[in-house]
Amino acid sequence: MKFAVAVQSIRDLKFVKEPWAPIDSQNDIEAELQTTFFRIWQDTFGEVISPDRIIFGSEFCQYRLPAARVVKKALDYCWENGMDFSFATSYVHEEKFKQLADILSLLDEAIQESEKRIEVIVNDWGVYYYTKQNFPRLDIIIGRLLNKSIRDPRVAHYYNESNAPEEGKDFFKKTGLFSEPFRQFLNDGKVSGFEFDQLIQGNSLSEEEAKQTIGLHFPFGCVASGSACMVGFIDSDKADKFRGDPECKQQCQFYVFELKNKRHLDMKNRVFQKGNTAFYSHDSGLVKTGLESLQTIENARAVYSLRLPV
Amino acid sequence: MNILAPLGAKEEVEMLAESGAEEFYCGITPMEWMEKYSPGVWINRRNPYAGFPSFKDLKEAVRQAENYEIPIFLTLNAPYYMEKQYPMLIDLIKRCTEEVGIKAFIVSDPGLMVAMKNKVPEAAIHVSSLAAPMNTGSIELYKQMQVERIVLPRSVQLNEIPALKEAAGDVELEVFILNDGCVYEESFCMTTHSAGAFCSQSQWDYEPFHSDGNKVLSEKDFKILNDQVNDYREFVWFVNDCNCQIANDGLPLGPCGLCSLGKLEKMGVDSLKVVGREGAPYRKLASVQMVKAVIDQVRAQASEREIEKTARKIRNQPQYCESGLMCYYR
Repeated sequence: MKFAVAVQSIRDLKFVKEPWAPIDSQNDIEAELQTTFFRIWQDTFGEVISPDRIIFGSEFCQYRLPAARVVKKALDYCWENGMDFSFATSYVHEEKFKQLADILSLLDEAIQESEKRIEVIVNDWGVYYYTKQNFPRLDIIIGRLLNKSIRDPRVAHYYNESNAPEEGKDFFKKTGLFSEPFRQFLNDGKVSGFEFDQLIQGNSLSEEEAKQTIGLHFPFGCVASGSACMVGFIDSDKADKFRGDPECKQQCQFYVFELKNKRHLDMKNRVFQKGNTAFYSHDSGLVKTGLESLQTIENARAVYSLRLPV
Repeated sequence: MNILAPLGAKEEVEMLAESGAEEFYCGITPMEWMEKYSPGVWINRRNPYAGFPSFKDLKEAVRQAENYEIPIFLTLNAPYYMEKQYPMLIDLIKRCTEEVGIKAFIVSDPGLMVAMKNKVPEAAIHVSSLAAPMNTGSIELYKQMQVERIVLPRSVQLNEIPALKEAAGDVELEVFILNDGCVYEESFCMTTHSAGAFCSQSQWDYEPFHSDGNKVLSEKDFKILNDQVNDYREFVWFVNDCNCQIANDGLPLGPCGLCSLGKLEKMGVDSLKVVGREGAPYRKLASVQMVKAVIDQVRAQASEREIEKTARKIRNQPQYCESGLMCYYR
């Protein structure tokens, strides 16, 4: 099994080599989940292993798209330290789509110069298509936002109840990405893998389906993402808030919210919103189930995020 | 620029057509789907009971709409489908195309688009906003898949539309014009409305903390964040149709783009979506009438300023219009 560490900020790169070590910039939640993740890793696999890949970039917010020179810096650091490189991209509106095109071009040039491989994790079908058409040297991974399973922490624990209809249970555990028509849709792209969240209701991944790389994200699953950032508009006039360009000052790197539900009191997972995206945190059971499921997959990859991944 | 109205029953066709609807969309969930997967597995983005109760009713609605030369489109925009659901979906599309007279299918899953092109190539595809076509890359992709129309997500703003229109070429563009917003991006909201909208603010308390290490938030930070949460709650309230209220004058409240109709016309937008298949017939009627009143001005070639003035007058909620938070487009 492969092990990748996901970082969204250049300043966190220095923690990648020993992701189990305490990190100053983590908050209590992230530190607690780090302890849980690596404890269960040790229980499951024995010794922790050093990561073989860095995944750099935000999957969720176009305003976290780094400058091309920052991506180059991350790439250089990664290769200097003997690791493989993936660049994670979010969904993008037109303005950022153009900026992203420059980064993809830079990565393509790096492949030409080095003859090494680089992955781009796409979370936008437009980015997928553009990458496929223009940069066929880049390996494409279908990101977890394009893997459309229901991830609603309010009700997901009911989806696997014994009295639920089997076909219904199956639906909530499966992905649509492995259907024959979807394979046809993807068959002319250089898709080398797929990313998943560990679902609260459980994932159904047969070995037959998982011939390509299967990346499973820990320890935060995505609930919902969008343009109405909770903190990016702090400095905007009220009438301009929550739609369009927030002229983002990266306030999500300072403020995060825990969402506490007053109606669904039996929710089993905590919910956090960082910037424009809500996440559920993994409990030890989810981490254990996820890591054990990776043992059954030939080309498995555990993806661990040091921080709430925005 | 056509008015696309939601349809929940055959009885709604006449009143909406007579009031200005020029296209309809609706849903249907076959009984065998519900029996097999349970009503919790939705065949489209709305719960099964928001759609037509039977194919017989749907066929009758199509027949009535044809009298007004109005096409009906069918939603098949669940976020995803698994392999074994495809045969039933393809049967449904064939039946609706060949026997019922549905003119296009609103689809978000690229796999289903491929399956349709393979198995029912005559069925027209409208790309749902759930497919997140928000940049020229995705417009190019869906154009290459030979779709007839693309529905732009709610988050796409006016300044973005010209580039998307240029990329779309002959492919039609549809935009949202009235009702039912989404706090998150519809395509990237992995929740189910069967438990109520996830974004519904009344169910959540928001507790801020520092995201950078274990720093303690200052009193000033708390004040700023508290104010921000209050603004966010207000925005969410507007997005959720002002808590599903009807104004004193009987008009439905909620997200609105009426002011922008002049600009949307100039940009070459083809269709204006009124949201709310599951809403009450009266809400649909009032919504269509509101859009029609402003569209009439656009068609009479009124200036953008006059159109905006008319839209605000019709809405009759100056304080909500001023807030900006109810606007689809700013």
